Amino acid sequence: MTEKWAAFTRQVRKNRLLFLMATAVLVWYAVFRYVPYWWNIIAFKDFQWGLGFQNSPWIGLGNFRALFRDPEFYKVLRNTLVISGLKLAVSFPFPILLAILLNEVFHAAFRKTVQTVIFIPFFISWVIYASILSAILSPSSGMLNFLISSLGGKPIYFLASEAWFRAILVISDLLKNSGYYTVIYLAALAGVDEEVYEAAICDGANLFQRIRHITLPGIAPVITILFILKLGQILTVDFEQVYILYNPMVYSVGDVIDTFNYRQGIQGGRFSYTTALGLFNSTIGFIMVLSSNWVLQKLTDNGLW
Amino acid sequence: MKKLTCLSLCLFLLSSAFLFAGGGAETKQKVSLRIAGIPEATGNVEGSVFMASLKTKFPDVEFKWEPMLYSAINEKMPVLMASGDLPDILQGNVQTYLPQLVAGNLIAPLDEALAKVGKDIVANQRDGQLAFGQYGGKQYAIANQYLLKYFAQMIRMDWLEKLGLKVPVTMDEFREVARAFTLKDPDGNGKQDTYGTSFRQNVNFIDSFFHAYGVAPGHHQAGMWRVRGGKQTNDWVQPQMKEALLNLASWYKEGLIAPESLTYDWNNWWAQYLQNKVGMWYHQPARLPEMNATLKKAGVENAKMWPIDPPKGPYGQGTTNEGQPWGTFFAPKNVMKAVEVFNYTYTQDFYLASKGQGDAYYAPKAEVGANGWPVFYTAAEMADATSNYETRRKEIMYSKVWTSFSIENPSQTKNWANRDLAANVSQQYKNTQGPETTAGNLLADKWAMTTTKTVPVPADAKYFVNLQTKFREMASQIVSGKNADQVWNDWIAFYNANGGPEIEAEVNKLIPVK
Repeated sequence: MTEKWAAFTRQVRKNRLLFLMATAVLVWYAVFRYVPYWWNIIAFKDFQWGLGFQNSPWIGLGNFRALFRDPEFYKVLRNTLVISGLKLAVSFPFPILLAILLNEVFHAAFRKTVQTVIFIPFFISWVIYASILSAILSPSSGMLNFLISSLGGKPIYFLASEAWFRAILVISDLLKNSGYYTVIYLAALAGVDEEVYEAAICDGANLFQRIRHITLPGIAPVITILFILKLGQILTVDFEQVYILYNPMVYSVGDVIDTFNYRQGIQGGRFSYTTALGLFNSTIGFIMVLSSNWVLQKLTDNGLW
Repeated sequence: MKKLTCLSLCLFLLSSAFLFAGGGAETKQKVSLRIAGIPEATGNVEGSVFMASLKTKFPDVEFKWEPMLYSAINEKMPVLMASGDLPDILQGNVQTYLPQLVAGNLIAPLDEALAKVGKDIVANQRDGQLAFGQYGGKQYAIANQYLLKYFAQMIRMDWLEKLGLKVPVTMDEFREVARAFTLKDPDGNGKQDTYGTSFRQNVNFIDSFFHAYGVAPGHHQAGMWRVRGGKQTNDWVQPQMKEALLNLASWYKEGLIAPESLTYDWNNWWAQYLQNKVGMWYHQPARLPEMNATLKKAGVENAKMWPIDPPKGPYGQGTTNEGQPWGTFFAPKNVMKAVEVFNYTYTQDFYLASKGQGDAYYAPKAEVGANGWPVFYTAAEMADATSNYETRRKEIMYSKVWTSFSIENPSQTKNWANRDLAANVSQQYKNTQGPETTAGNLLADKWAMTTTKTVPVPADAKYFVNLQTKFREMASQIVSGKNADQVWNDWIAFYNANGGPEIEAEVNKLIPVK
């Protein structure tokens, strides 16, 4: 033990700057990610103003019972699952496809230009992005409706349409974030040995065979990790995106757990109730991560741990 | 020798005690008062005349300014309440937060403090103002002086004149005018890009079109309530509400309402009026000079948005008086001192010392008049593009702490005990108001309808947010053309299953029918 401790302190002294930098991250995690766990207790209490965290009475599973009896909960749960599912089905594979395509482009300048152009929207905040979207989708002055009208169609009020709202969420998410994930996959592809490709070409493998047998297995661990993490967030739809774009006309299809939680908790002050919802959300996420990790380990030999 | 030593020692101890006692008095701990206001933006509050006059009057108080931006108040207040660490003087929405604040003992009852150190607050109130801060028979908040009674129906008179139309009276006539505003190019730009009227994200701020049907959403209040059949009832679930929504739906379907306004926020909504695109407006007449001046600056020389009577419908006509949802709370710890400080801001001394900077809409000039009283910009100066009014208004708006003397109509001062103060404040306001505001305020006085549920009830805390969300969803869906019968029936079922009857029972118990 003493020897191990001595070795550890030697490491710390030797790499003190690295440890210092890591400490900042650990402190951030401790303060903003782990300390708040303690407050999950109010999910089992009837939190009352004035009595505070400590003195509010225990009510067992009362908040969970209220949650599961609330018809609004089932509406937002359904919306969340549908939107998350759509995003997973569309937004998840798209960057993989894009990365593979870009990987096959030999013209470096073209590849880098495309990479930059698709990466830029990631840095635009949802507030700005939503303003641009509103302008493009406007039924009276929007570019898209101008096109529809020019082709003889009737303008569509996209942001107020129950039929279109989820599609807008998915497409806008795709356009905004796919560049970011594409860069992750490209980084993973950079690790695949060029000699393997050369050997495959010598052996007569065509493009699709190289993609299937070299490229995809090369980035499979990254795909697996990102997929597991996405499944862990199945009940978390980008709050900012939905909150900025939704309106009473599309509550029935666009109101999700996070926006419901915000209205009930932050605006309505029902902290115990929404903590119960948050805990439910986290528990499902945790189960999804564990189970998907187990399944993928069995199927592909890749996983988070 | 021993005696001398003892005597010396005693003298030393006595003198030390005396010295320490004296020193203690000199370094007496200041009372610290935390003040939380809700400005639209943060300005130089600490260095303002407003704060300086407080500091001069109360040298024994250390003031700490903790602003919460108006735009973030809905998020900040619940978190602040959950922390249990409320500022000593806190501005907030009484309608929304009073039950929770009282239930949690986070604020103090004020009856004793008002009797001892709050006489000027009580003496310089308008009619019934204190009632807006009462709960369970006790005074828990002081409602802001200004009253959100002054809403009126407005119309572009210059457009009416240009199209050769009369001022509309009935709902049908309003519709004819809206049709002309939409189809006959009143702005003369050769395009069909104008509209009769507009929504502001939902149906909440178009109440004049609802009162014609004997109901109203009630702006952003906790519903609009009226006595029907000897009981307190919520307008949101009356059959006339469905009729009013169907009327708006037919307007919307015909294209008489700006099509995108169901998703407009405040800025987009306000901008379309300033861009000369919408002809009918329901809002506060106090904003009329600003709108007309902006339109004129943009080149619409004859711009004249002007107040008129609200549309007359099958069940009456009216506008909504919000009463006073905003007020000031006091934390229990330093309640006496806090009320004493607050009381000072209701005195003539403070009004003069702070040079009139306790106003809601208007800004006093930097220099006071020859008689020592503040001088406000006139309506003409406010409209004049070359005056420094706008800069000054922002400077004052963002550096004030609260608004003790803000009125929107000179008649609001009629009950003030200090007649000198009342006369001067009234006169200043008469000077600031343009003819359109004066005319609008008179119409608001005539038509304003007040909800009979003036204070919140405990059940609001549990159910109101869900009901409000669902009501707005239902209203938007009917207006936009969904199956009205289905949507309405779903709403009624939701209301009955999600706390509507509980709120109604509490309202009828706590606010008896008079």
